[in-house]
Amino acid sequence: MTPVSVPAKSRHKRSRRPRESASVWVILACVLAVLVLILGIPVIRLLTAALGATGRAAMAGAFANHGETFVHSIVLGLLVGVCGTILGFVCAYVQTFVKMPGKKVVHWLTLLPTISPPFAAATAIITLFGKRGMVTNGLFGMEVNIYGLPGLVMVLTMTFTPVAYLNIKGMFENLDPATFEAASSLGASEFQTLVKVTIPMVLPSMLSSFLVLFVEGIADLANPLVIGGDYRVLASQIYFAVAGSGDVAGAAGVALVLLVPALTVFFIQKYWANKKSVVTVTGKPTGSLKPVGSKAVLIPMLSFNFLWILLVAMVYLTLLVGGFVKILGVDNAFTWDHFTFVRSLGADAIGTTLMLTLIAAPLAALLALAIGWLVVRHLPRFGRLLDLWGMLGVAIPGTVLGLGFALAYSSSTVLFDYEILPPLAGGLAVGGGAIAIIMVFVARGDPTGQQAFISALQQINPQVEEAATSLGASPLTVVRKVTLPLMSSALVTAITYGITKSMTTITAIIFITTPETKVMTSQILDEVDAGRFGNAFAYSSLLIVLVLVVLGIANALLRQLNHSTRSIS
Amino acid sequence: MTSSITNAQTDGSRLSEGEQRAGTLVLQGISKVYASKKGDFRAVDDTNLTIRPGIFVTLLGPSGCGKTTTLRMIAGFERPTEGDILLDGKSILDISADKRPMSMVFQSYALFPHLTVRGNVEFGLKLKRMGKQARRTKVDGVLSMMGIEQYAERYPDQLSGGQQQRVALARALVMEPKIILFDEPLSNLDAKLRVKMRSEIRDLQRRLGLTAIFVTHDQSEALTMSDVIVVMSAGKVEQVGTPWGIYHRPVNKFVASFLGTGNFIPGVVEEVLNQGQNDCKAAVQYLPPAALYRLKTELGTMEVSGVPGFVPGDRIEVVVRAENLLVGPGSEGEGVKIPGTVVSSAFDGEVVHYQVRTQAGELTGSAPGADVPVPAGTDLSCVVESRALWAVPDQGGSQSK
Repeated sequence: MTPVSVPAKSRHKRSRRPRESASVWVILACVLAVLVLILGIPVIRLLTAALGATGRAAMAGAFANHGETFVHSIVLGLLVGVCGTILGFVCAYVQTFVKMPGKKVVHWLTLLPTISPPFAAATAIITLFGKRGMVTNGLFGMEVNIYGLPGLVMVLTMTFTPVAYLNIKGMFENLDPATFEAASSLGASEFQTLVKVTIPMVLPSMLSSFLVLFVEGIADLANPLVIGGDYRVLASQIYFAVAGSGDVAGAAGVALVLLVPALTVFFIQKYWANKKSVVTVTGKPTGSLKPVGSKAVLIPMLSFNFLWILLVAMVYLTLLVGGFVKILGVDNAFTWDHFTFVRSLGADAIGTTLMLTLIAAPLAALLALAIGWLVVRHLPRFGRLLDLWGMLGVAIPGTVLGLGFALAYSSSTVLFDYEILPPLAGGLAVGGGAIAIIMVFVARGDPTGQQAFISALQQINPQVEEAATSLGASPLTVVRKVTLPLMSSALVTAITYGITKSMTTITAIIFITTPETKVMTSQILDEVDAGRFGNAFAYSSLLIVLVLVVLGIANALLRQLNHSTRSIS
Repeated sequence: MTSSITNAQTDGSRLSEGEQRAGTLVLQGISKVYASKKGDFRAVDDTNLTIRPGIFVTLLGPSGCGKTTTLRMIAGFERPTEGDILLDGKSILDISADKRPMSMVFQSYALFPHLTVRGNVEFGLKLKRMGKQARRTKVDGVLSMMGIEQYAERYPDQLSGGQQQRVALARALVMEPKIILFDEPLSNLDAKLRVKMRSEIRDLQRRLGLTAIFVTHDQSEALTMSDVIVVMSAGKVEQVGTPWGIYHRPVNKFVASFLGTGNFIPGVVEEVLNQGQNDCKAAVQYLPPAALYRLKTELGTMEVSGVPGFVPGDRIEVVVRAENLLVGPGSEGEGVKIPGTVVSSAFDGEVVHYQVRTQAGELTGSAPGADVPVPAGTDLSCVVESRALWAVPDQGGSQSK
């Protein structure tokens, strides 16, 4: 996710080359082929299924009971959007404007949910706040029903607040500190500055965060399954249609009902909300931000932030401890049982997950780089379409995309009576369905990298590349020797997201995991379903540690790469 | 197209007469059209130019006049919509930018931030697969020529603006291009350094015998550095000539007002005293022909030279440069004496700039800096030096477009 869109002003004049060289066309052809496979055929198959008779009937069913399911999804999306954006704002504000010890720890804690499997938090929250919850029941003696809307909002807010946090924090960092000095020299108190200057200035990114969170909120499947209870949403209805009655066409109909608002809001966010950016990127920012000292601002901000961090810390502590005790809150005796279980059952899944990730993440980054390069440097008009197409990978709710893959690749792909592709998804497919899973990972991992590359490229002065051309470098040499080394941070972003998305995703692959290709997240979900929380905790902690280790190694390697290009000369 | 423009273009080709030495660059009617919804925009419009090898040519004009687009078409970063570009008589349109025998120095320097100074300078040589030893010798040579050998291992962000500028220049020079292209390379430097770099660039160009094409909007850069100046406006070439010729014998009001500070006093041609011949005496410095007219203006009747081709009754404008309108009690000189009232003054060291109200309206004049500035409201006499006056077509008259 790119925190801030680049305003038109800082965009350098696009130059059209005299003639696009052959390499550009070859790369374009490859990109198009990949996009057709991962975001073309599945989407078309989904639409045709949804618009068939069964699909249309199911669509009407989604609006049964006065559109209960549909309304549920929308309400959930709105609540998650509002809560997550406010929390993200508070966390970002504290990080940017408050001086306090342990700020870095707070930062990393806030980001923790991004690298954990989506329902890990849900499981922990049930343990903490459920009917027999350690806090609600154990501490206060209450009997709270956490299942349903309250639990969902809590869990989804926790999961997606980091998105808003990074977005708003990025905006804060791009504001000119002189703006705040100007406000104070005009007589505004720190509280007035907050209300009249700071909030209005980051309003665009708050709005765009809200919209992103809305989409994430209505698209999520795993958490409604774990903690949704009777609160039926569109995503879970799709799941039950497939898992319960095997009604794939009906599921496709419901998927379309979910797809329409998700896509609408997503593109409003991308093409409208992000444009309203007031960030000043002109000139060097003068001076640095002064920490805010006013109690009127500090007390509410800090207490809010503290409560939030406390909640996050408790959840992840539960996760960690829960893996080592028999039944957390009931029988707190130390045990290795859960990890032994994970080792015996999960060794296979760990290997598979790692392998799939290590194949998918670089592919996603490569696709993102190719799209970004084409969009910014070579095909300004058609490129927009390409950008939009690639973005579908996250704009389409994971459940819907996964369903599309199941529809498209469970049987062989046929064009004019010729089999052009064997079945790719499902247990009987080539590679035990692994290929389809990798394709989903690439589709889900590409958009963030794509955005990072696009904005990085837009910030590289084209003159630098022209200088290389002027010195005799061919287009590919320019990319290899100049452009890529200058975009190392975007590369890190692309790889990082490729890895985390691949390792922690469940929603998008829930319909295409097979017994032959075991993936960690789906096994964790099985454990949660079976009520074996201890195993799920152990598994989740292991997954988080694994993600961190893989990210650490990848980052170290990338830094090595970057260092070596700097010191070749 | 009007006579003045045609003149300008013949001027251009005349400058290129003589043997067509290797390295002659010819722009043949090139245009660059950007299509947009509101209609086409002609950034460069039917430009003809011949550039002989070894000379320093400046494309001068206000922003948006097409000078940078022209340069980028020569470099190969843009393809002309119409016309052709010839090097030694052969079209280079189908040669991509990386294969053209030219190097460009960019306004932003465009140094590679991830490479050291040495890495930047040897970048092109590496692509040519030059051997390590030869490369090193060459890079060292260029770096010491530019006086930056002590910074070889630094990164661009550790250099000052002037040092970065030198690296950019070294990086282009090391390629030994036939033609070196400059896109406003000095505009990011401070005033003192800019003046210093002007003469350094000019010296290098002379010493290495390079053809240089230099784009700028700064008239004093153009005047001090160039062999030939091409004045452009709205995508068209207005005038081609030597710095002196362009400054003192502009073909139209645009050129006259773009260079120097000028007053324009309307007048009518009474009599043509001399049709204007080529100034053969000044063969070293080619000059546009000058005719001599008797004019009737608001400053009275006077004899003024100007663009040839007017007939009695034509409306013209007389260019009076600020340095030729002498203000103040001590102002003696050959010319027309007129009374005036000081509106404002500004002391600028060498000179004092004045705004003076006269019978011909408010004019810009000057006085030597040694004279004590006269306060606003003072009545005094001014002298218009008639020897330095020049008549150009009236704006509504035979101006192009």
